[in-house]
Amino acid sequence: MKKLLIASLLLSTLAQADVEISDARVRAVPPGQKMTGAFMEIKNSGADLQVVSAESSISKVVELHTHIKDGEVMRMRKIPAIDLSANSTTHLKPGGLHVMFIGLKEPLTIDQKIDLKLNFSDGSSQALEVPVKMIQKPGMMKHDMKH
Amino acid sequence: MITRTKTLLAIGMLILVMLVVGTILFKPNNSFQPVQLGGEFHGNSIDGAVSLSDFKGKLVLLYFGYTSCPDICPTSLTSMKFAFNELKSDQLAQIQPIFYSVDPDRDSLEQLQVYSHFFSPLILGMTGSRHQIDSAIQQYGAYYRMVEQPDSAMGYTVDHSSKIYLIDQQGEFLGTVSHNNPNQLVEKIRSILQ
Repeated sequence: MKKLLIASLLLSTLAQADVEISDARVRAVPPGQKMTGAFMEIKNSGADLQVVSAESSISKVVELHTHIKDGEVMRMRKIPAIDLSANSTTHLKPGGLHVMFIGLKEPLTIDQKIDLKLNFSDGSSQALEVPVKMIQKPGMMKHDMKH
Repeated sequence: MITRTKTLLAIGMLILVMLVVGTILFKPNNSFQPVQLGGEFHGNSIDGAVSLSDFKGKLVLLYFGYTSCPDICPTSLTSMKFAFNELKSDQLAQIQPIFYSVDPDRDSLEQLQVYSHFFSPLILGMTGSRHQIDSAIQQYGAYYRMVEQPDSAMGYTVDHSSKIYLIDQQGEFLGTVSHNNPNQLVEKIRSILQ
C-alpha cells in the first residue's frame, strides 16, 4: 500500500510542471459585460516554461493578454504565451499580464468558482478553481505598477 | 471664351492670395502660447443630452474609457469608488463623476448606466457621437484609438490614455489625477472642496 502511495505521489509530481499558482482570482464585472480577466501569481520552480493556452467553461474563448504602456497610453494585446522564467514568480496583475475571458456565457457572481485550465509548453497542464472577486482597492496590491 | 476663363481664374487666384496673406497678417500669433485644455463637452446618457455646463457648481471627475475594457477602466472606476468611500455625504453631494465611453458602437446608454452604477451610483455613464467624443478627447488632451485585433476574439480593442480629469465648479479644467491611486484622488477632491 505504501509503495503504491509513494509511486503515485512520484508520478503525480512528474506529470506536472514545477508550477505553483497562488492568489488566483477572476474579476467580478458589471452585469451584461461579456469580458473579464483573471490575475494570479505563478511560481515556476523548474526550468524556463511558458503558459501557451488556457481553457474555461465560463466563456467562449480564453486568451492570454498583456498591457503595453506606451507613454500615457495603455495598449492591450493578445499574446501567444506567457513566459515563466526558471526559478521565479510571474505576476499576472492589473495593468499587466492577465488571462482574458471573452464572451462570458453567463453573469458571474461573487465567490463563484470558475474552472480554469492552464496549458504549459512542456505539455503539462494545471486545472484550477478560481474564485470571482470584487476588484480590490487599487494601489493596495503587493506589487504596484509604477508610473 | 478662353480669355474670360483666364481672367476669372486670375481674379480667383488673386482673391485666394489676398485671403491667405490676410490670414497670415491678421491672425493672432499664438504659436508660443500653451494650449488651453478643457472646456465644454457634450454627449448623451440614458437620461438625455449631457453637457459639462449642466454640472456648474460641482466638481466634475471625468474619465474616458469603454465598457469592454477588462482591466484599466474597471480599475479606474474602482479607484473612484474607494475615494468616494472616504468622503462625507456633503462632499459627495458636490462632486459629479462621469464615465465617458469612446465606444458608442458597443456601449449602449442603458449598459453605460448599469456599468457605471456597478462601481458607484454617483457615476454618470455617457457617450456621444464620434464628433462629440473626439472634441472632448482633444480638449482634455486625452487619447484613444480603435485597434483591429484580427488574432483575437475581441475583434477590436481600444488603446487609451487613462487619467481622471478634474474640472472645477465653474467648468475650468484643473488637471489630472492618476487612475489607480484612490488616496491621491480623495486628497485632491478634499483640497478642492475646501
